[in-house]
Amino acid sequence: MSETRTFLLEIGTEEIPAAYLEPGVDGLSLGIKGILKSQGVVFDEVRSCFTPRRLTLFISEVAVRSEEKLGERQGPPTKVAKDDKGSWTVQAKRFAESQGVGESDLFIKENDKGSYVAVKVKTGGEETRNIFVLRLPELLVKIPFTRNMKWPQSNKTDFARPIRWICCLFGDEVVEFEYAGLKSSNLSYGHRFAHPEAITVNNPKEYVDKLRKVMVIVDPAERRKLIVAELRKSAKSLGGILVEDGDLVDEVTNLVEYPNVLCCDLGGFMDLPREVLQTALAKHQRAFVVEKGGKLVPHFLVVTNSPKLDPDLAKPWFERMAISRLEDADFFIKEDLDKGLKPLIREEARVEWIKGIGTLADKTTWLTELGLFLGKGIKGFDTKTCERAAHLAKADLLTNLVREKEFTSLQGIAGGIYSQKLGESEAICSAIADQYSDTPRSVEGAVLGIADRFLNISATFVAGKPPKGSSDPFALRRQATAIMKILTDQRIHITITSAVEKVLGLFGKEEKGQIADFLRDREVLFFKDKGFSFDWVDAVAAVAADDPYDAYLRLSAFAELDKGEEFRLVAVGQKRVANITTRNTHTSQPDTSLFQQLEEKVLWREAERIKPEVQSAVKSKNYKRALECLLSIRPAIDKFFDEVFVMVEDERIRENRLNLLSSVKEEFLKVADFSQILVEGGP
Amino acid sequence: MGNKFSFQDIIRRLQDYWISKGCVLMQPYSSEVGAGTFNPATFLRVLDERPWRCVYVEPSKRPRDGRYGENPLRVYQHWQLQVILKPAPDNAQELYLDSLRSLGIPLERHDVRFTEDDWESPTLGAWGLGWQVEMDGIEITQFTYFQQVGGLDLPVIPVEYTYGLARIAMFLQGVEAIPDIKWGEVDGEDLTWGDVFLQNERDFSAYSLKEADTGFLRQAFEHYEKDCLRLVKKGLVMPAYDAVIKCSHYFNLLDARGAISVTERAATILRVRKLAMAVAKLYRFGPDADEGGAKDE
Repeated sequence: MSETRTFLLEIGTEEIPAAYLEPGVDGLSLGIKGILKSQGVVFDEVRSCFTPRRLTLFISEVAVRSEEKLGERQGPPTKVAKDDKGSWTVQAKRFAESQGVGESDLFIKENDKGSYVAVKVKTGGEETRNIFVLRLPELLVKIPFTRNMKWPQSNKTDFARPIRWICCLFGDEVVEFEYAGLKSSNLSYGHRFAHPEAITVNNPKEYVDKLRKVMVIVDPAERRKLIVAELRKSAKSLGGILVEDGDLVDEVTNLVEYPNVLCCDLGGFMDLPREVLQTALAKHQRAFVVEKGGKLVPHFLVVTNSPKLDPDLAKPWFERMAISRLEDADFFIKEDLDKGLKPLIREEARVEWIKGIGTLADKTTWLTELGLFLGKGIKGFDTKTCERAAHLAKADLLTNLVREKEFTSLQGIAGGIYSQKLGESEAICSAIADQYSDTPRSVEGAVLGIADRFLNISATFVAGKPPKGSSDPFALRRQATAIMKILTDQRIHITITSAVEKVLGLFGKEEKGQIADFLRDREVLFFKDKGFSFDWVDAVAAVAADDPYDAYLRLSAFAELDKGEEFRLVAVGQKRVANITTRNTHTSQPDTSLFQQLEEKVLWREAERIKPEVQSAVKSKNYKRALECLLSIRPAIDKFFDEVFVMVEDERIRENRLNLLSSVKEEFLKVADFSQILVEGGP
Repeated sequence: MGNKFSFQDIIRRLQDYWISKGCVLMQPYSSEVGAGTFNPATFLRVLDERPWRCVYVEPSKRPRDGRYGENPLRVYQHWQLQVILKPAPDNAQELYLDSLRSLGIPLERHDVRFTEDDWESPTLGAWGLGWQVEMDGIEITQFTYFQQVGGLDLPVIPVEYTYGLARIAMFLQGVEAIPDIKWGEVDGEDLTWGDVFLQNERDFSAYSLKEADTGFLRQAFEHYEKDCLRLVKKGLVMPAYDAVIKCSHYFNLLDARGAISVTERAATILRVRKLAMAVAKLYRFGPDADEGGAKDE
């Protein structure tokens, strides 16, 4: 094993936005891996860390030199390189010279493009440190931040925020390069307030511990763990338990270098709706709440970035700001309740929903109609509840509370709270509250949510703004996925085609099937993400994508039978059937009197046997049973192909055999297109 | 809190601090502005390549925020302390933090954060990247590295610090409402913000929200809009820029009076921005450099 060292790169910056950090280090990791691989430098593992003020990369066991390789370099074509007599021309000699070899090292190389002169060359063996020196600046330019900036020292290189130092070591040696007007060194810096002085990093291996001593926990996973532990501890000391909020923990993890939890008091406000209280504190103060016996306690927890914090100094201001926010919320709610939802529903007619499609009042009407259309026939669906909930559903968008930026996320929930205070039934309130949720509690809530998303997706497509590439400003993909999730969770059968048709009818618009295609694409991805084999999903989607829950039942049957090998064997046969019958339109059943071989008769008998069973199993959606039936005729199919030659001269016999195979294919297609299942690969 | 700096102490200390760091002391502009950024000492001075460092207080008038002096945190006229350093130094953050230390704030015992906040002024065609600085959860300063002003990429990147003086004073003095801030003393007695400005708040709130003559404001807006373009053609930067400021203020008043619909709002902002961009181009490239300027956008 050749000599290796650990590599460290720390880019010290002014505070980088929380959401930029992970993509930033991911870009760095990916870039450096690409460089090392392309340069033939062997390494063990790339690891990345970050805080708001630094992006850090470690690479373990990096070879000190790139691998040596023997390769060939091509020169001019033979007809230029050799003269009539077969000796090397001036051009050939110049080529040898340019490659640093003698004439005797030249040889002729033939390939598919012709004949050329060539030499053997040794590449690699370069010092890895030099590769870093050369390549790191190119890498840093390419880090993909959402938004970059210039600063006076940046020398025209952009970055998310100004870079203020670069610490870069290969083993205990500094990798010296210049970037953004800075020279790399072995200096790093501690916590901005707790330890602002520079520290020397002698070796990548001491980096993490040395930073911890200067109040910087550089590993986000470690910080996160510490934050959660501290929050739980504080919650416990308040006699309650922490209301967990994973997204918020993620965010604050990216906002601190050294977390220190501060416990603040609220005084009153405990009669504010819980969601409002929690949202106000989370959005404005990034604060956590604590519950006891299902009720919030009058305190909140702030994750500060201040290891030397004086709680008595800091608390009053956190509290004052929180209280002023809650006073605002309290004021909005009182005003909203005074007004009620009725006048807001009237106001909807004056609010544009989507340009060229209609007003919010139109949307409410369509939501009601589509809800009833989709709900029809679902067990336990209550028409009246759905109708009333849909009627009230969008009014909260016009309330003072939801119009306030920080409470926008309470859309639906606010409607539920207000409806309840205004005397609507529990079922209606919960449907309103759940319309934006992925996990609605009732059928009516589910139907409302699905209908709302169908309207949003369709209207956006019709308005000419479908998602493109990475741009999906209206989160249509997420909404489509939510539809699939709710349909499968709640066991609701709908067909995409009829739903879209209904929506377009409501809009009075037309489109060319893009909406249904988009939804079916999302459906396929949804099932693949759920862990079903990709090929099963394709096989099922080919015949049943229009009813997502039905497709889900089929896939579940596949998963439940779990006969991968058997499916594959069936697929082999079905691929042959599919190939051979592509031109057979199968207009008629096979004529039994034309059967010549036993295998034909057996296959037909088997097909006839399972036909009624498959039909009734599919009808009752017992796809497991249907699959078992289909699997049971595999031996007959295999035997048929072993013994019977289909494409015989005699047209009547040939057509008859094709008709037979087409009938068999038809049975299989009632469940899935087996020819889509992969036949190669592991067991 | 150990110290009891009055509002005027805070202004003086911050001004002295920045003067000691090489800033020239400027004064508020003579026309109504919504933010210190509108003062030509910022808007025009950041456009060219010459070094520039200044500090000044700007009374900033926000007609929509008028609350008759009754809201603890919202006022028609608040006070910003504005600092521009061009080029932005490499220790821009430390310099700023030292200015807070000069107010006697023990930063390491508080929670001080640089929280992502990308600043934008649609009317001025200006944007920058930076933070709002939060102290124990209160926003006390907007900290921005300007990237574009008047629709032009800046040749030298400046940093702008905009201190919310009221917030800082409340924080230092431990008072909960702006009108209660101690401004200074008269004959050994405390003089509060309210003592000085309550009538200003009441009268201008009533004017902004109820009494301002919207018909006249619209006319005035259109007049200044036309005049701005006329003056730009004559190559007169300063009066043309004054017209931009007027348009912006009249727009704010119309907005506060509820006289501007949502769609009209965006269109009107765009009209002001066009003026600001024309003036910026004139200042930076001169009257004959129309094409060079256009290229730069």
